[in-house]
Amino acid sequence: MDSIQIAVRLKTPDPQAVTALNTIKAMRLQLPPLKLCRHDLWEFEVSSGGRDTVSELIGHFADIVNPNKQLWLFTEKDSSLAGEDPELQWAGIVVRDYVDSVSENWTELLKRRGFPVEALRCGVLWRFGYLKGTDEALIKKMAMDLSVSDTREGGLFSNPVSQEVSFWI
Amino acid sequence: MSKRPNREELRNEVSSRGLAMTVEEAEKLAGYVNRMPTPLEFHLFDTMWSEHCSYKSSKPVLKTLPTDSPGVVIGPGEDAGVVSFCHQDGREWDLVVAHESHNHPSQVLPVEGAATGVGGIVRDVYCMGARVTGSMDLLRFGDPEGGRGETTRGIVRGVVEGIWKYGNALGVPNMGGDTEFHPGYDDNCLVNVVAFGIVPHDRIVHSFVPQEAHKEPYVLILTGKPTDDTGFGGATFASADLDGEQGMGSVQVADPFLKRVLSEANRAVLDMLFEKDIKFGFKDLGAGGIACVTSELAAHGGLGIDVDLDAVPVSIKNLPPEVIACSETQERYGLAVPASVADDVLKVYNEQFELPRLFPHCRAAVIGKFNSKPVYNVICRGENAAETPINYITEGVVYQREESPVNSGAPEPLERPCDPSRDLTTILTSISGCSRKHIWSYYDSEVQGVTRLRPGEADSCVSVPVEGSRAGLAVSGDGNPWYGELDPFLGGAHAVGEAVRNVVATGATPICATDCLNFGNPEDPGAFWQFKQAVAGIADACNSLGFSGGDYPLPVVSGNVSFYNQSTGGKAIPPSPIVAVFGKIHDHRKATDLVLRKEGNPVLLIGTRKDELGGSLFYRTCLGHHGGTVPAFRGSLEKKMADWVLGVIHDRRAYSVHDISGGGLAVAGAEMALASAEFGIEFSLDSNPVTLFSETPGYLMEVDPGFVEDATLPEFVSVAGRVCRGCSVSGNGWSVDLESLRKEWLDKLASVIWREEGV
Amino acid sequence: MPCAAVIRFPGSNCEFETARVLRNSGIDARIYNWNDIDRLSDNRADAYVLPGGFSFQDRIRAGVIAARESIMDLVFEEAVNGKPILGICNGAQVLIESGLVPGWKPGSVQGALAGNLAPGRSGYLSGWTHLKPVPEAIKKCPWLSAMNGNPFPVPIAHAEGRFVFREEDMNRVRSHIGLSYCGVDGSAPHGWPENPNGSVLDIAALMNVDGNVLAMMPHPERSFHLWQVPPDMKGPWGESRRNSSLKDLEDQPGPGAIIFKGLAKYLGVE
Repeated sequence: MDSIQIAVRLKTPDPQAVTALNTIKAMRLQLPPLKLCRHDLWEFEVSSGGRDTVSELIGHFADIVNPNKQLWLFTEKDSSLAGEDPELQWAGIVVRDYVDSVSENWTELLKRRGFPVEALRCGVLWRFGYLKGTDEALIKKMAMDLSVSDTREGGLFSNPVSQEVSFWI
Repeated sequence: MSKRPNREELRNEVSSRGLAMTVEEAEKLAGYVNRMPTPLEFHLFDTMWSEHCSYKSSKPVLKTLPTDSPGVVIGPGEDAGVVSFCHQDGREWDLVVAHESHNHPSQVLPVEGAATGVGGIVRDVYCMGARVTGSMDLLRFGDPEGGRGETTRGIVRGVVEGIWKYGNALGVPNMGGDTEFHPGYDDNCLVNVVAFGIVPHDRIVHSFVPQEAHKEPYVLILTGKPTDDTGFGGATFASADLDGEQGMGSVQVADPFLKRVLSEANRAVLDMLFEKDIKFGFKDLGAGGIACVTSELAAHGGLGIDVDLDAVPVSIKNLPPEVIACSETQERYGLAVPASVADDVLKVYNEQFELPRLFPHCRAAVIGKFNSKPVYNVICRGENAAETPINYITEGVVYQREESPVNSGAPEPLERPCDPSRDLTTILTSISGCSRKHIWSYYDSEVQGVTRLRPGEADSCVSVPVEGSRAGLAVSGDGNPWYGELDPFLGGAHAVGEAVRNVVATGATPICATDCLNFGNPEDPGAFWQFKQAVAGIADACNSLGFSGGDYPLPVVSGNVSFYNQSTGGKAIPPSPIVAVFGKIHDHRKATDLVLRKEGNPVLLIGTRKDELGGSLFYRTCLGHHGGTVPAFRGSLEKKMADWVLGVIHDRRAYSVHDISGGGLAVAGAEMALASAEFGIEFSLDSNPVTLFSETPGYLMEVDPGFVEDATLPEFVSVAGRVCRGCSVSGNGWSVDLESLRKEWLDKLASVIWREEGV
Repeated sequence: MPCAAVIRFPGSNCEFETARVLRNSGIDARIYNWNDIDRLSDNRADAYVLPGGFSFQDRIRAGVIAARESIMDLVFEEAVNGKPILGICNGAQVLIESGLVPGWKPGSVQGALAGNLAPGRSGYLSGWTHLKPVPEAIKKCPWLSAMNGNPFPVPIAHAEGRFVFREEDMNRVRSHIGLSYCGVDGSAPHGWPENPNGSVLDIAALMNVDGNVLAMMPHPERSFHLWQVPPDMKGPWGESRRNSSLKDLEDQPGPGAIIFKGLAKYLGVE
């Protein structure tokens, strides 16, 4: 069983990321991220074929990746993602619903269509670009603080009651 | 600037810039400016002379459509058509209607293509000064169970997602529409979109700078999303063949959030201008972007304009002038106002509605000045980016295309075995005959709180759009590709006929129509003949189905032509004239729906059945045959039937009404029973395929027993059966329990397309 | 005449019909933009309504950005003061993301309106559902105060309407339920579509501790008139819709009117 993860992003500026960064600016943080990228994160548990299985199924479903508007890649640990400014220091946060219809329905659909996929889980990967040279532990803490909405004034990117949030890397 | 270029130099420019214009057209342009045109001029004229903007192939044919009727306020020509709708509290209210296609973009990027389709069409209605009170989508997809089924299923899911994600957020109720599947759309889906709204008659806004601008200084304000490069080339893209790879990145990115805020800000600005009695012009930015909106606002008002591209809010730095001027960034409007009120207008957008806070670089800005010199003059970074006599820009081009008849010559089936119970079951559980509810369930059809009848409840959706008034607005859009394929003339005529019947079945009197004409390559004489035939069919039907008295026709007040609907293989789509009809019911409380009301009530058949099953659901799903004999279009009978049905509804004698079209009488009866749950229909007719499944136009109507005794029924009306308890339909020797079929009828689309079961 | 403020965020889209039904219920209603804070502050209302729509296009998560708008400080203050506050659909999402509902610790986010959970589909769902009020809530919540306990139909239209709570809060959340989804006869729902989004405990509307704030996913303002009820509706509301005279069709209230009637009653409107 292989666990394979892909990140998918829009070729054009992502309106969600634009609005999110705009909202962060209004929060007047001491050290706000300078850039923000949003990726759909798909994680597949495949029973055979590894990456080839994932590449193949992507070719069948433009709902997962439409090459006319999106770029995708297999994610590697510690890798930077396409489109990221190398002059910044990046941290990643993954937000997933504990339970969601999209993951459940796609799992069923792919199985029904005969792909060797045991499970699938969707999430959102937010990448925060901070000023280079900032302490890495501090960046991770800031990214996490910004990602958990425990109060009305708190972070933005996940509701801890229905979503789990974790570091990506 | 440079000297007049030769043919070869022009050919190089055209090909290196990826323009769609011909070398002859480039020569014409070079003649206008008497030098090598600037890049901006090339792109501007390329857009203005595209099929999409100039109607260069279709114009002479479109002139044959009837447009004149007493209620018409503005016919074809502006962004949307306008007809008189109702009077309320001393004010006259008009209905504004627009109809367009967004076919090619939706094939490549279904979500964004369908979303920007909604976005574009509502802008056309907004910019007439109207409040948009509804939209409707007429969708044509390939065969989801066929050889290209996987692509088709993805496109259907994407298009529906694009429509709900954009339309629901906008706060415009979705009034349904229709969805048809035909393998002829495998490589080229159709996404036709209709939007409509209401405006007080004295507050209609025009898309040209007003006459007052000849006397006092007027400026042009651009408002909305900052200009980027994403839509560059969109207008020419809409008119070119599809080949899968082409046109990527040239589909626009829609932003319903900005659109909603912008619409409310526009409303505040327009109210302010009207209250100050200031004359102004207003136009949305579509194909050709800033270049089109600035030149058209000026030219149609008889003025010239100086445009300063450095003043345009942009989200990408250092864009070339032709990109800033011709990009098709969504969610923008142009406004021509006196210079003296410009600051007040900017304040509403930028401060009251805080555009700059809501989206980076979004704001309203003055970008041009109108003047009396008839020149279109554009400055960018201190250089002249265009300097063209302005009347040439809007003059357009016209081509006389050749036509040559396409003979389908399709035969009728030799045998027509029919088992009514089995065949009706087959039809109701087929992709063509099953419920469309799964699609509507994604759409918000009730926002604004004025919806009276939603999709699926009656033959057309009905809303009550004018506050305080009982006037109901009914809308329906139709077009049968199977008819169009066999006979484009009848395809056009029945598109009108069915939409009229759908409106009439709810008790509304048709007041106007719009059309979207989807065809193949107009340079192909066969495709052009199909186009001409379909237009003739629409004209014929509209001429016989006028409801304004006298010889007045049903006026076609707005529309759109979409050519080049074909794959690179050259295979064109079935001729697809799609027509929307708008009707008015004076008192919405009298509107009728599909729901059977009372056991024992007689069910009337209006329209005698004829042996004309070509293209019918029965042939296609039960016999696997297309047939050849499409139902004839009998204009004067259609009119008589409609008048009679309207009379019975207005007298409050009709309990429920359904038109007979796809699937014939049996399917119409089954649909009434399925809408009712506790009741069904027992037919007392012969059980042959002609009676049960012929698609001869007509209606089924539930009345009270006394009505049949009191009234003298016209010769085209007969008693077909009666309402019975239990959700079923039956006839001599057959019966179908619909309750047990309901789940499959409702779930079929979702199962094949959304869950990919059994494919 | 008592006055209600309808708060419009960028992207709200039900503000006009919401104001209209409030006025039809004998309450003066005014629409305030998100940045009309000074004007609203000078003209405090007797009740506040956060209408439906897509504030900030539901970006990041429905309601989360609007919850941080400065005008919500004022709403927050009024909620703590005990003024009646209603969030409809997107408004409900804003109330949850503001920590006003369930509001054990006001300002803390203690519940969620997550994506609809339904078999074989995801995303938006519109359609009519049946609701019934919890008897204790009728006594406690001004918005529910005119109800007699019978089930009634109202439409829903949302993509993120599934009430979710932490496991340890599941017991105390029961006393906050205002309305729950049910069958046409008031019986417990048999899964989807009677419970249209997978909400825990079939919750359709949830109150704060004091009952003055109600976060409601269905749209009562779209079922204000009898003529808005679908013709194929089951149960007594359907019967009444199908069999009413022209006059009644126009004059009789629809099932959702009871919410606004409740407020009017609470505010002493005759």
